Amino acid sequence: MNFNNNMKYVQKIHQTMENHNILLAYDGLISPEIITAFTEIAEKNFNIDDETLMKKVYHVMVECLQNICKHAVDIDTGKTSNPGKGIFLVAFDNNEYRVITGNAILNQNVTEIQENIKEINSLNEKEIKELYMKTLKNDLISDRGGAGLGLIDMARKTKQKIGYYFETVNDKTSFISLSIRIPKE
Amino acid sequence: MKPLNIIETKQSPKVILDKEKNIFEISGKSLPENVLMFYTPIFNWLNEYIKSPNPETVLILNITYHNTSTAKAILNILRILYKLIETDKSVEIHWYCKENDEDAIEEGEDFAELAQIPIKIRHL
Repeated sequence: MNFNNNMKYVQKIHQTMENHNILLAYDGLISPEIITAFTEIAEKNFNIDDETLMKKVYHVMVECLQNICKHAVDIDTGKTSNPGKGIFLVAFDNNEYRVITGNAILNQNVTEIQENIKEINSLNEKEIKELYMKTLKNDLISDRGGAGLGLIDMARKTKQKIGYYFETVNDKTSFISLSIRIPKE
Repeated sequence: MKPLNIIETKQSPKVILDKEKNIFEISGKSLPENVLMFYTPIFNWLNEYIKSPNPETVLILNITYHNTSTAKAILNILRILYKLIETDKSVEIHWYCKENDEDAIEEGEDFAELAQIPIKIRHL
């Protein structure tokens, strides 16, 4: 085995990204600076002419990135980390944008988040609007910011179900992956 | 009363709250890392202001983008200003957005409904 053979994976990653039409891929700390950088990339490089669509993509990116930044925990220890770590992808495929995230959360929070998403996914457009208004009205502002309103708002603005996947990592943490679709109308 | 001026950044809007000049304006993008930290001085200023307000208060909200945490902060601002209505003072919110931005128009209307405060939608 030589050094050059070991580097084949770089081309594989590149090929995978091409095949899945991935516009942006990142795995690491999601700091406020990263959030600013990624949203600027979206505005400058995604070439979305439709302003409404651009705003939706931008919004979903911000909410997803801030969720990871504020709520992701260390995957081994379950300790709060600020900013949090996660994987973040934006793809354009089948005439829709797709924002995909993955990060660690505490096992004890899995059920609540799962139930939240299931509830949101079970609602029609009008019911989501009602839930959004109710949550906005009653939620207190906090320094960490509740992830609940963000999920509801993404479903409201994209009019799509939230894709999700959970897998237990160890006795403290689970990996949560979310997928938000933003169709081109 | 001392005016509150906050300079715009990439994550937070420009803020001018000036009783003497009768200018009340928040404009730009709002997705601050810590919403509470950014907006608390604004809440405090407004809570002071409503104790001896000007006869007419027009708050200009020209927020080109806001995250969901900011939505809660905006609602809180409107709730503070609602107290002016209770004391028979004139208060109006001018919600600026692009004419074709239906999401933004809807958001303005949602805030008006939740805060029970008149909002005029102004097109940029």
